[in-house]
Amino acid sequence: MIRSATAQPQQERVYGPIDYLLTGVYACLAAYSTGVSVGSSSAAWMFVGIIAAGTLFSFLVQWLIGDQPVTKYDGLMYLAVGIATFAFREDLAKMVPDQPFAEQLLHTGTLCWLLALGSFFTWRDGTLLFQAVPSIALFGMVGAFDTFKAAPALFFAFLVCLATLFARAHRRQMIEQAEASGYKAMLAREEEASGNASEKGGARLQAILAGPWKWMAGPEWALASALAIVLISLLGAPALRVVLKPIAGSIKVPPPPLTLTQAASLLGGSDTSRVTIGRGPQRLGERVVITAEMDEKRYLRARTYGVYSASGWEIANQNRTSAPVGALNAVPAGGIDERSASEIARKTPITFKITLIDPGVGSVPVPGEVPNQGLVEEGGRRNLAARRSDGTYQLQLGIGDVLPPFVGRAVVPAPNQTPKEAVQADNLPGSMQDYADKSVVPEDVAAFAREVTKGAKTDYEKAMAIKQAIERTCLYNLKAPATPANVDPVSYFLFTSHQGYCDLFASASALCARAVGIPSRYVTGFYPILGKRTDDGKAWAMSESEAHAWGELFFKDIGWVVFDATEGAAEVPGGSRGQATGSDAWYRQNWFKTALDGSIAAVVLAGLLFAGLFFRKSVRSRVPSREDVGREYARFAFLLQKLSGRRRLPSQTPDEYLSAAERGLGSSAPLARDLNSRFVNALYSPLSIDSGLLKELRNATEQLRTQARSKGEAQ
Amino acid sequence: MRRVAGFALSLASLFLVLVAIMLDSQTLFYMGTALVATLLACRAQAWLAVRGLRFERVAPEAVRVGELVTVEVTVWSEHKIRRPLVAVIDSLPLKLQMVDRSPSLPVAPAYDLPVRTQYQFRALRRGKFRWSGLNVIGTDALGLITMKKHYTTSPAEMTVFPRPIPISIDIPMAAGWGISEAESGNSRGAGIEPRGIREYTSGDSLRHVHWRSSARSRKLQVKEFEAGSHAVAAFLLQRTRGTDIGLGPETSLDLMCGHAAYLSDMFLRQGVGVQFPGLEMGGYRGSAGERLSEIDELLASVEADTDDNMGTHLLRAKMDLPPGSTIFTFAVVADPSLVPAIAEVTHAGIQVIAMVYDAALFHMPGKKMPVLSAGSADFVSQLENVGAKSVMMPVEGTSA
Repeated sequence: MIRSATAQPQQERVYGPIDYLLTGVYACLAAYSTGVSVGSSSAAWMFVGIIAAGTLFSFLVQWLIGDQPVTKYDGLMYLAVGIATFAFREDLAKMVPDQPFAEQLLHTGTLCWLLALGSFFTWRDGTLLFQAVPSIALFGMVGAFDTFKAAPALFFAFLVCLATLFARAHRRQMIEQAEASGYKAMLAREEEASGNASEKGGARLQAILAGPWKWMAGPEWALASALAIVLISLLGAPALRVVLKPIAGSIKVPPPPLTLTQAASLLGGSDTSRVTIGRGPQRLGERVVITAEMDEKRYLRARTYGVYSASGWEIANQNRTSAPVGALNAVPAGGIDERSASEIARKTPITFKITLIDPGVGSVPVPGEVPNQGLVEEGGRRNLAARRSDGTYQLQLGIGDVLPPFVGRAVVPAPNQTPKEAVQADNLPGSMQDYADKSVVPEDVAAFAREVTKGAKTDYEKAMAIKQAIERTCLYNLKAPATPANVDPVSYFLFTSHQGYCDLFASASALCARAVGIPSRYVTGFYPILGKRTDDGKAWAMSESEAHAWGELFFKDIGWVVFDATEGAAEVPGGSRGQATGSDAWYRQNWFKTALDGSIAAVVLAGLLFAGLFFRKSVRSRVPSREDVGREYARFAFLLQKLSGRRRLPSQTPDEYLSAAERGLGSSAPLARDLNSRFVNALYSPLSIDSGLLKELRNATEQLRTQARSKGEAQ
Repeated sequence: MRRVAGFALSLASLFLVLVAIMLDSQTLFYMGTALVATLLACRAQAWLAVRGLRFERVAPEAVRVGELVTVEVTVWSEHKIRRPLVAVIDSLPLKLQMVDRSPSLPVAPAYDLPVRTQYQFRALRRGKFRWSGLNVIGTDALGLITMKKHYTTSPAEMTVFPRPIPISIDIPMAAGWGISEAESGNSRGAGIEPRGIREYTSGDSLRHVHWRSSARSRKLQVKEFEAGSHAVAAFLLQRTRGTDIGLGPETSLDLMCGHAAYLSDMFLRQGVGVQFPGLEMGGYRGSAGERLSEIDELLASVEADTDDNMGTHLLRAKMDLPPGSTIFTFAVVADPSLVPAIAEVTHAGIQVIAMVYDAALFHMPGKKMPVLSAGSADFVSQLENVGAKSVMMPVEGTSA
């Protein structure tokens, strides 16, 4: 039976504010990293707030009623929280701002809630340390998503906090063990006997620290270990990745879907049948969300819209299947997609490969006109993308579905063709009549269109005139304010604000064209504005900020032609095309990344410098003492032990040990005898010790070692 | 709990690295490497902590059952490295039954400097014990990884004396001048040669108070005289193989030793010579304190390991005892040889007091009592019929 720790002064064993601070910090780091990696800073800060409050609450509980039996039930309470979190995970997920923990990420949200609510019940060592479990799991998720570049740095900080907490808990356990061993009681008795009884347990702790724990590896070792670990990780991880490259990446995990806010800013929100325009500054970051391998820079359609209203665009009315009388024989029947492709007289086939890094996009953006069955998943058909009637593709991911790249073929108009005349409304099938509906064009916009197209002979010239007029009239500004309520956004854009971004330019182009009789539509998707390529150079890598909108006009023999009025528009400094807007989190910005890299390098360098200076100073400032001679003698004794095979007993004097070991020394005995007498003089005579003597003894010991070795080799 | 944490972290690191490889995730590579590096550093620290140490152990030579024993272990480091704390688990012999064993004081060994650690326990069973070797338990500074290493040490020896178990018995009055008088105090001072000074006990004559010593010590002290060769108490314990009944630290022989130790102390304090025939060979001189130490040492090593029956022992004892002596026989198992032997001994003028135990009262879980108890009415009446005075000994309250 092992004796349990006796009741001793509380201040030595109890967990203090530092432990709670460490727990709070590491839990916050985990929750924050998770929130950011799923794309919701709001969620991240919400969890940080809850954890901070919970940790403070737990600290107060421990501080105020830490000695009450109720605190022993913290584990049970934590378990109950875990069960409740799991049971109500869906309701809890809805309470998070931006709702980033959609169905696929429900487990991540559950872990976040467990960490946050569990922090209210960390009343003792066990639960304080248990917080590490959901934290590590969350960091694992963050790593799997791989969307938060600062995550490794935060993980290092997490590890330092966790290690410090473990070290403190271990120290508490050691103190308890010291108490149980009876040592502290003995110290107390000794103090009492000597009349220096100290009422404070801390004094006895100091006695242990100055006694049997004096030579313990201290904070400098911990610091050196931490630096070594950081260095190993910084250098080792990339090296490891390179070594494992041939087998790495066998499984693909989709990154977390975009939050509703982000999806809305890109493609019109969760309801892709409508999109609002003129919504003011949007959060568009540098995160790459899609890569596309194709022959040249092309506009990638994600969704098309035909019906305009003051609130934005809606998809063309799919129910209008009957075409105007007389038009049926003139145009092929069928959907928009078939008609769009059939209009191209001279087709050029292209192939492409689209990789959706972020499935939150919701669609598979495609270039040109993709024929039916023209888009498949690489590695086999799984029907993860459903074709819409306008030839775009809706992503249909189930739980656990891993997103493969999509490969496809499409047709585009052959090069060097200049459109001239637009397809007239009566030549359009019923499903495309919305594209020619002039009634939706505000009167002032129509007047503007008519005005700027005066003198234009062909539809194409009219379209170009409209484009140029818009480019002249309006400034491109990603930070343009939102359109006021009850005001038509395009009218406001053209005649009042004269600034906006792609959605207003595209809407204005489409409406003006429609006003002068050119069928048009509003299209959202991506365009490699910045022209960035992937690491292997094979594909264009498009970020959130390259989500785009443009107008498309329907011309005879050519089909849909892109009219992007943003191309020639002047840009407001800081709000130019493809630029990440201010909504990019600070941790994603280049200055932060540079600063982080610099800080890590500076910390590592400073640590090395400090360690070097500390070592140099300690070596230089030390005055040799008899203890040093003792250490040298220990080396000498160790050598004698190796040579003679006899261990020195603690009770033996140097002379006694030498006589006991002399027989095994052979011809080295005279030198050993001489050296032993010098050691005895240095150790026990009143002679002062200097570094010269110490060096002399050290050299003589080495000489003995060399002599013994050479004789051993000779034999 | 933290050992579990260490295991959990090891699993987590392995998982992170595996997932990092499978997903080819840069972030996971950093995380996994950092966690693995941390655990490797912990493992290296714990490994180094238990290497290159030297030990010297100091255990008390003798303690009494139930006393707190403190064993000190001095540690030296043979390498010039700083280490985390290490603890020592001494390889105490299995026979040494104990309670309240404390963990050892964690210490940080220093290079060629002695650092002292200690642990404590309470021995529960008398005996002579010898052991060597110990295990060192080293953990890293975070307490996540534990390493153990065995070291051989010079052997340590310790004797655990029996705990005197007080008994209140009426020793039957004997004819002539013997123990009964000693017990009543009548014999004290009957000798001529003064033997020393001792503390006053109830029954001492005020005639023998040594006033000078009493004044100095502020306690009544009396002069003690040799009581004379007639007053001898001999103790004969049942040591025949298979007669030690009971388990653990509370067997019949342990109880007999405890009672014998108490009675020895009592008689010696009253000036009566005490002998253990069969266990020692004559020459019982020296002060009461010295004799008591001899008896403790003797009782510590008594084992039920002889093939002779108790009757044989009693007859041998008769040869060494002067007439008028009293012999106390301690028996738990009914030994038929004892009956004729007592008859012969009492015939020689030696009083026999049979201290009998009820074998059924000793704890033998799951085992049927294989012997006839000495405390059975038949056996006791047989003993009394041949002249022995029987005393039924209590078994309760033997716990240390």
